[in-house]
Amino acid sequence: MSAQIALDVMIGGVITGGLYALIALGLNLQYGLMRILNVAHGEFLMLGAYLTYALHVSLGVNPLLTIVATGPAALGVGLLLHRTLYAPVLGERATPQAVESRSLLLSFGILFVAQNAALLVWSADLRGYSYLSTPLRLLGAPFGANRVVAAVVALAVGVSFYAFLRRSLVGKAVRALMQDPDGARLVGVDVRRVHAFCFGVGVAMSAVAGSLISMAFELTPFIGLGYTVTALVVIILGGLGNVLGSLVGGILLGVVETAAVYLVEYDIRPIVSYGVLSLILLLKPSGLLGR
Amino acid sequence: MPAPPLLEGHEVSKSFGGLRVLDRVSFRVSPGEIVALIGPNGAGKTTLFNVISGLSRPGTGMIRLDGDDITRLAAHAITRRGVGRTFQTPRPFLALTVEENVRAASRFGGGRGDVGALLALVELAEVARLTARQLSAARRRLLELAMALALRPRLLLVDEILGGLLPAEAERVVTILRTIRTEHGIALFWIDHVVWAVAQSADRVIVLHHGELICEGEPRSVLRDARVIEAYLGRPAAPA
Amino acid sequence: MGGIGGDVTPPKAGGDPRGDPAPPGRPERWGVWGAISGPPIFLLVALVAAPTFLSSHARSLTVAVLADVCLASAWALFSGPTGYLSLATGAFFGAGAYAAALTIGYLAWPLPVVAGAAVGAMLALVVGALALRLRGPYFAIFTFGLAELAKHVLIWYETRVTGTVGRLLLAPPGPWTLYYTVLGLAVLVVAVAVALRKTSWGYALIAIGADEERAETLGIDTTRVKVLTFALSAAFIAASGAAMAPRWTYLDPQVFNPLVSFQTVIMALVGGATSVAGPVLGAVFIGLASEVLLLQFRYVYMLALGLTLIAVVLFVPEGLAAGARRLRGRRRSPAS
Repeated sequence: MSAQIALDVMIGGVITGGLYALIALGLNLQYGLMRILNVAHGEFLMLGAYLTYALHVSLGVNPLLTIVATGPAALGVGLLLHRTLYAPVLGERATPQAVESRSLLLSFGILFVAQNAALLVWSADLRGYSYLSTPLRLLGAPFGANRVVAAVVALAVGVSFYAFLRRSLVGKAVRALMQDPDGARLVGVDVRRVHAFCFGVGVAMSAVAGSLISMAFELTPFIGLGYTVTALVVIILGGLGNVLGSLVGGILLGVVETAAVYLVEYDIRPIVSYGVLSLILLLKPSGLLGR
Repeated sequence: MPAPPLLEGHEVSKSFGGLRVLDRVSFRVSPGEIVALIGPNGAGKTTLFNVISGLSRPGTGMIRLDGDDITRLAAHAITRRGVGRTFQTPRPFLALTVEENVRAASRFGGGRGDVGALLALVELAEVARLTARQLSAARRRLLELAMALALRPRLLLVDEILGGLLPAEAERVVTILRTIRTEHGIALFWIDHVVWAVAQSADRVIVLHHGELICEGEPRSVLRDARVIEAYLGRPAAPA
Repeated sequence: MGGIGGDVTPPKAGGDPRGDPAPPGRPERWGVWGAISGPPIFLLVALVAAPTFLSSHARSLTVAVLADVCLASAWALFSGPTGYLSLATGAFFGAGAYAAALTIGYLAWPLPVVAGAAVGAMLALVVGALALRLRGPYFAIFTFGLAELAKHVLIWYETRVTGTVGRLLLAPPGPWTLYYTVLGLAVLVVAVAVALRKTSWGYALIAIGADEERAETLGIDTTRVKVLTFALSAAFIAASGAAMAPRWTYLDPQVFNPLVSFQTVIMALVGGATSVAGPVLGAVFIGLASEVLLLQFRYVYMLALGLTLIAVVLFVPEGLAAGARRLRGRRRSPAS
């Protein structure tokens, strides 16, 4: 493989991976903190994408600008869902295993509702719009400007959240809860509020990622599941609960997938992500950066 | 000549992250012996039991049962070789009755335990039809014991079976433990804090402190040993 | 206790007073059939005679519901007592269907079904060996995308290696053969489910679901028990796929459908995954609803299904069968 091609693959991988990182980050917050396996994660991505699509196509709003709408809206939805559905299940005194399986099933229900609501509103037809589709040359290789912008924004959001976790007081509370739930409680961290906040932020990240994805890819109401699986692979790859791990893992997976697709000349991305998942579960289940 | 040991541990060590929980602990239990394992909280006693019973892998060191190396054997395999275990917090199957619990345990172990005799031994025969959930804490301990015994062990790891019991209840349990040894020849490796029980029943006592074995010997001499007293009273430790 | 929402009491043979429980371990054969008395036998007879008096549409509907019963009961064989939620049903179903499609020209019926079962079991052994060494959530994650993965692998294989996409089913068996095959499978699965609970194997599964570590210290080789039961469950699921394959004259990788995975879980859970009757009830209830509503009001129906699931999880977590039993006052399944 020539150096130029290797470089193209690397950059393409980072571009893909940047989005993966953001998607995974949201899921990681929910699972790492609350052990909520939110299989509906990708559906929020899908809904965010459709919202941006609708705003752009009917009102002519700049897709990047729609994030200002989809982000907070998703945060609100997430807070509401947590309060009405997950908090009651999490609060009951039951074994962790029962709690996990019940929240998994709740997420299932949400998946069904979200996907079919979208199908009712927008039907199963492919939809999309054109935005910044002119190619941008990065170090010699052409990439769609929309994809580059999407990746840059995604990474920016991801990295700033990571910084937020390290610097701010709320961020410290979140980290404290992730590392030592009982200790955090003793120090006065309001567990329920932090949980609700993190759940909401997770949903918001998913929706924002969806908005970004809509700029460069076509949409159907079925795209959610694939991204959920990708997010799951990334968070296991990077280590459950490890925020930096999601960022690194996302980019790593993006690069590996891009390289594999280039080598095989076929879209074997699902096979690649499963292969990566199997490898990690076999060799180091706690993840690359996990303890 | 002393009997060849049933259970032997050589320099068993275990760390969790940076914390050294067991530090080169060596021990020995002979057939039919009652060996008590004492030490202040956090000394690593339950960890040692976890390592012996296969729920935890040791970092370094070797454990032998009847001369066979069982250090890295899976928990179920170790159980099948004759090492039974009770847990500090009893974990019976709450929805099943006492009798069903013991029967289930005996089935798992190969189906040869005499359930009635076991229940009589631990004095739970009269509550055989109650569900485990309905039992008092003291009786749950005895149920744990019966379940472990249903597997026909030659060695029983007993983890703080007397904790929180009233003196009369504790007496009863101690008598049962001694019967297990005398009438069934089962060796006991026994963690506890209740000193009188230990002094009365154990053949030997091992003392752990901060993961290290600090003293070993007959109950009377160990309980008077200066190092042991210091460990329990918590005089300032030597600088690290 | 694990599983979904509640403690598990292995069922006593019907009518036995609580004070004289069936000793676990003695395969209670006559007791089992004693329990299956009254309405279920009547139902069974009716089902056997059904093709003689049902219209072809009604018969077709019954086959579909019976297949759902197979799937839900087979799923609950493993996932019920252990609490390991398998989302791989769609993958096994598709594997069985494909196995049947490949062998139907060469093997006499019902051997393609057996082939399907074998393929399902082998697939499960591989997946199980990988995923069952880990805790429940990892297992669910791993099985989650399996159907999609199988589809992609097959598409890739067929386009690159064999050059054809999809299989035509030549010389499929007639509708009555199909009906009795599926009925036979359903009866077999339910019988296995009942019998399993009385054996020490069944108790081991419950022990694993209750407290896996404790089960290990009671001498249970948990990995072996889990993997073998998972394979058994997968064999039945794949067999169902194989038995149903002739209904589609043309099979393509779309038969690996995550929807099958989801719907099976929902059926078993709505009915109650920890009893034998639960998955059957759930399958009949939701299977009927889906066959009737899916075609006409597909998206609305699925949306309602999602809402139903949420409602069940929030309010009747141990499932409708157990909830109904509670209402009727029988002390079978304790509420959690």
